Amino acid sequence: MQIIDVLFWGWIIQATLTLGTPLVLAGLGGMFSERSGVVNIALEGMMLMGAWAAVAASWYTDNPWTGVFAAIISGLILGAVHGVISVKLKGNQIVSGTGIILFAAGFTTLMLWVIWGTAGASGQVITLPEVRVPIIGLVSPLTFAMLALIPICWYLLYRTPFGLRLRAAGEDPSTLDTAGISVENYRMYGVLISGMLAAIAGAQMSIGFGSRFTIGMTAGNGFLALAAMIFGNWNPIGTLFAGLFFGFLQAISYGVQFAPGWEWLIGYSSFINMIPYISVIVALGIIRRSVPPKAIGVPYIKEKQV
Amino acid sequence: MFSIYAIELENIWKVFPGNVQANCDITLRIGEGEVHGLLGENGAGKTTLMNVLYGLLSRTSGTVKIRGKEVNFKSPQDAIRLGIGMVHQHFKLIPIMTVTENVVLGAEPLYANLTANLKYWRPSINPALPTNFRSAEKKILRIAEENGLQIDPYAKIQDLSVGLQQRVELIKILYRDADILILDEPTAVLTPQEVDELFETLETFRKEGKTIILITHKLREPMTICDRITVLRRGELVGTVKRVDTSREQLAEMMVGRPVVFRVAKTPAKPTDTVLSVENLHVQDDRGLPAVRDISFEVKRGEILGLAGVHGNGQDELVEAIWGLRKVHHGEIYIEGERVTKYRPRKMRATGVGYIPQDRQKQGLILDFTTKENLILGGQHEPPFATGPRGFLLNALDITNYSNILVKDFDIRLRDIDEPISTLSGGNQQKVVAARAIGPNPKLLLASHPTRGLDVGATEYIHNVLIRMRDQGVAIFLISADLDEIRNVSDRIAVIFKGELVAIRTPEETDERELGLLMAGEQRAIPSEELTQ
Amino acid sequence: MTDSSKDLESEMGGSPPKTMDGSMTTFLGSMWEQITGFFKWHNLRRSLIQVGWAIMSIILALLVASLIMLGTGFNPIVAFSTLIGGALLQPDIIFWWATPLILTGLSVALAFRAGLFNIGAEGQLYMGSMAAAIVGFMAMLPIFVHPLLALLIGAVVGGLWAFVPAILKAYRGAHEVVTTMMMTYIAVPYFTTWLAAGPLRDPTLIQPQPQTPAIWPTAYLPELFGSFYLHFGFIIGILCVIGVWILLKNTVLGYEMRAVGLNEPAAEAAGINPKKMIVISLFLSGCLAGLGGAVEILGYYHRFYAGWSRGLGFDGITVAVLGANSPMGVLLGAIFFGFLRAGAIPMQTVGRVPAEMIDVIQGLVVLFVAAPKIVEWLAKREISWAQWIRKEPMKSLPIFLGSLFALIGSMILLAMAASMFGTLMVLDLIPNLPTLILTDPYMAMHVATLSLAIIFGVIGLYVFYALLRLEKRAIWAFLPLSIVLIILGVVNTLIFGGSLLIPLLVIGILGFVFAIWSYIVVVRQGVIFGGEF
Repeated sequence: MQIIDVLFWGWIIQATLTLGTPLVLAGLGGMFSERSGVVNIALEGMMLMGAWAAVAASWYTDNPWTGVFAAIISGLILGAVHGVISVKLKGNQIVSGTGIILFAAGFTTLMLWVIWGTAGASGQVITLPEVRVPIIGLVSPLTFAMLALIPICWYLLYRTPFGLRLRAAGEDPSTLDTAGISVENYRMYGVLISGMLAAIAGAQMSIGFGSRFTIGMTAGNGFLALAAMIFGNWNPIGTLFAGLFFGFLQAISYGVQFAPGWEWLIGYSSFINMIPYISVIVALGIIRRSVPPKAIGVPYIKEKQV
Repeated sequence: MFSIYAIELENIWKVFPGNVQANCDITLRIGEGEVHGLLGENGAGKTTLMNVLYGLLSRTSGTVKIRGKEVNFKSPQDAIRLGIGMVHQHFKLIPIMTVTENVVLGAEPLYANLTANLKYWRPSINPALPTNFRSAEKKILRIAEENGLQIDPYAKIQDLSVGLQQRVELIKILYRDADILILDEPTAVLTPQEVDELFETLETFRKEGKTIILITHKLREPMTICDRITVLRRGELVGTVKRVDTSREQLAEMMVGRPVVFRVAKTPAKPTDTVLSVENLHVQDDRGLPAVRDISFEVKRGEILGLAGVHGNGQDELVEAIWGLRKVHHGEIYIEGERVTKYRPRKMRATGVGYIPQDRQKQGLILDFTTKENLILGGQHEPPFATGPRGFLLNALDITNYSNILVKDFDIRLRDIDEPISTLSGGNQQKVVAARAIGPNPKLLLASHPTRGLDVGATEYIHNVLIRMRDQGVAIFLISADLDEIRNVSDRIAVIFKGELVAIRTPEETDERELGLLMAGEQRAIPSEELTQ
Repeated sequence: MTDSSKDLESEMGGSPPKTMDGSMTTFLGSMWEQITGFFKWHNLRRSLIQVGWAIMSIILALLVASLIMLGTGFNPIVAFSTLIGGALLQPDIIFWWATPLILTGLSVALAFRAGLFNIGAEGQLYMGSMAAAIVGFMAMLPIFVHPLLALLIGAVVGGLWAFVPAILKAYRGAHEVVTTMMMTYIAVPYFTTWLAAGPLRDPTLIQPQPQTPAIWPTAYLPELFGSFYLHFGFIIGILCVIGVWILLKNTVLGYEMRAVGLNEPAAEAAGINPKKMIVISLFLSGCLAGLGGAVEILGYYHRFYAGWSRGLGFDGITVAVLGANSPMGVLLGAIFFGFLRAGAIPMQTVGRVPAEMIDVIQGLVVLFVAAPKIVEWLAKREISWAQWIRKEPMKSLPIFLGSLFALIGSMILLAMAASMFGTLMVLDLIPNLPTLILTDPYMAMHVATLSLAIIFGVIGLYVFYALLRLEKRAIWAFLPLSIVLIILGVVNTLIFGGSLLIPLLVIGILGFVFAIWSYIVVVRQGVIFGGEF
């Protein structure tokens, strides 16, 4: 009995970490972008693109690490597109984000057709080498990367000139501008980091705990990450806990279906799968009004008559 | 006169998108160690000119020389490097950050030993190195001590008073070792006593040999402190005069282009019965802290009650609570005896209250709406504008007629009432806001900063409207940060400090000095229970 | 006219009760005013500019899509010709596809006008279609009542699905983008699928796809023009366009919704309850999306299939964005995307280009519409280039033509790189590439050519952009680009047996000539460079 308990909790922790990693990574990405003042609902699209790029690159090179590298490149490209439209060209950030989501969904489906000639899923690729941890079991290296990123992000955000300027760009861009720092550059940095992290999150989903790419495989995880970031109050530690919490809920919704004694639930698996989505709605509904960065969503126009 | 010029601006043109000419061919030379006044009405192009000098705005044409050398600033960083510092009218401070963070932003100190080791790849990696907050705090404390600008480096900006925030701005400049200081309307938010203190600080700067440019639209200030005064009007330079050779009257005429009457002509008020009465009102601000404490007062038919106070002492919360935008914590509000404490704005309007919000672009107008649509905002649900079953439909015909009448009555200058209101000038936009509030003939008018940012002509116009309304028997509650406005227009003056009413005076029985002390909370005239009567 | 001005006068004094028949005439008058107002020049001009921008964005999106097709080995000319031909052969399919797009587009646009981004129209569409299907097969009703009731319930259920996010947005500040998306994920893959697979599954069918029983024929929407596809839903869509247009333009509710959408603080200060408006507009938005699902079920599918829509709700975002959130724009945008969808199947079957290409185009269209600056920039450049070319053709033409040649050259290079990369992919050589390069000189050549093509393809794009902007650096990149074009043309033909010799040589040599010529123009004749004309 006790062994089963240990196994069970070990499995839950493993699943929470595995499923929470993409949420936390993308949430951190969203945080960098939103702290700099750019709404990034494109996380979903960036993750999808990252997931596809990781699989495609591993498919051709038989090396999952080139997959991660390709994911980063794809994330940077999408981040640059979002950045150019919403920062340099002062476009509507939400519309631009939606455009990226739609583009990524269409493009990955198209490329599935082009590369593998199938409509639903890619061929199987080698996954990232997992690390065995006592009790918990196999853990993806990207999970460790995620855990290591938390203090790095915190340090970057609160203890360096970079972080100070990034936060200033999101709180009051005109102040940053009068201090002689380019608001556009810092917002671009924020969006680029955001794209990179979101794409790594996508790679975790496709070659971290899966081994293939399927259509629309991110299934709203980008939005869950966004919610985790809001729930975590736009800071890395909060995002970590909120992301792992949503990961835990996902783990539960998987786990319950296999847990002995709970077989009768299988007919209702749809409802169990809804748990993370419902929990986001509940979470956003019950928390106190969280305070987003003040200048978020507003393009900074320098040459405006005062 | 000067052997060396600190700043030379030659033939500066600045044209904004939409062909708005903010500066036309301005040539201005400012000597080393001079205190130079830059005088002009709101919208005369003073701030734009200084932003061009500071590198915040690009110029359309012209040359800028600093200490005789031609420069071409791409960003304020270049200006800062040459020792230019600027305090903007709206403080460039981030409320949720600490004093230290605000001061070092853009000039963050790093650990010297770290940067020495990383010499070769420094520039690109610099911002990702740890900030040396300790050395920054030390330097701030040193500057504070040397210049008599005491400040707590750990305090958050949002917890500081406006006067202290300005201090932070000055420290920010000194931290960057600036010796050319540009101050944009530094006195707008200060009490007279704080203004004196500021001028003393500037006096010490002058002795240290710093060059100071003081932007202002008030006549008194440059006459107190400046060596020379340059007057701008509608983007053009009218002239530069020495202080000793000029007078307030001459400056005023240069500024406006015609002789100016300093006082608004008005007859004594004939107040009758009470319209608005506020009893023991308590209101909280956005952060849930008490902003208005136990305020009681009355406004009578046919009088203007002015509320004086330094910005951020609860006056905005007070007027929002009366209008129903903000929840009353406890206390009561009555209009002609009717209890209106819980009324929302729509019901307040129906009760006969008009409201001129404080910021016309943020709260007053919908900039993408047409002038016509803005003129009926708030009344759209009432006949004759709403028509058809259950007042569901808009009546475009009546809206047009009504708008045309208001446009004529209030002399609003526009091309077409169907064009977005953003195409109107600031003064005309404010006239729209005023016309909208006054159009339905209210019993009580709440006017919050009704002339902020307007030129002399528009200000005079609004003042005359207020006084005409008063003479027609409307009760007016006027909130303004401009002490002169309060003193010229009001029949009684209430002073607010930290959310409490500290005095009610008539303009005759008080003077600027006393009002200043009251606003600074250094003197409290009457306990609040006496204020009701 | 006299009637209304009388009303106005009495309104200025006090407000009298209104009579119904008076309001009817004023309403008709106000409708007339609206219609004539639409044809006023500046309104018409604004609409035309909007259409022009939308068309420019579509053209740019199609250009980038062609690049992607080139890169992935499809022929854009074949793709577009089969798409256009296929769509024109069956115009009824265009309008059949447009029907739900009109409704979901209106849904997104209506919410957008109230300042909300209803990204979850897909979920509301599914809930609406499921509800309509349930009414369709469960209830037994007479012929007119049945579809009406099904449509009504479909719309209301769709509205209720948006009601939850609306309440959370209004009272808890939860961002509607996240919550409506979550509601969509709950509805589409889980809730409706579960219903169709479980309790409501058609017991008589053996297909594995979850689906409900067929609806009764009494609930069918009639076909239009004897088409197998097109049904009465299209008329409903048109009616909704008119309805939303009247709602936004002519009703108090629409006015208040727009006010909240454009400036919430100002609307609130004017007595409009923003929370109420948020709830109502998001509910109505959900209703429209639900209606979109219901008409498709009643008009075409006649039963609910899991996953039947494949993103009609998301397409609604594209349609709304392209139509600048105006009802008329939505109608045009929906017909345009109906056209693309109708042509997608022939494009796939005849032209052998996957239908997913349309999704890519959609995303690109949204991206280009999101940044009107790109289009604006291009339009401005074109105008100033046209002027310059007319004035000084000898100086401007080489630079202008040069930039065009750089663009064409870079496109060919990129296409070449893509096809060479494709060869590597097909032969599955990428994993062993490092060793192959070292051992096989042919492979090394191949990879070198490939990299050169990519690098100079990108440089070509830069040269195009920079020459258009008159940046001096572009000239220096232009010469090597032309030389590489010539070299690659030779290499491609001689070593790899390609067919690009003639085009690359022609473009390379002409580019070379233009590069030298521009150099002479710039250096010798002193054209002023630096982004300004």
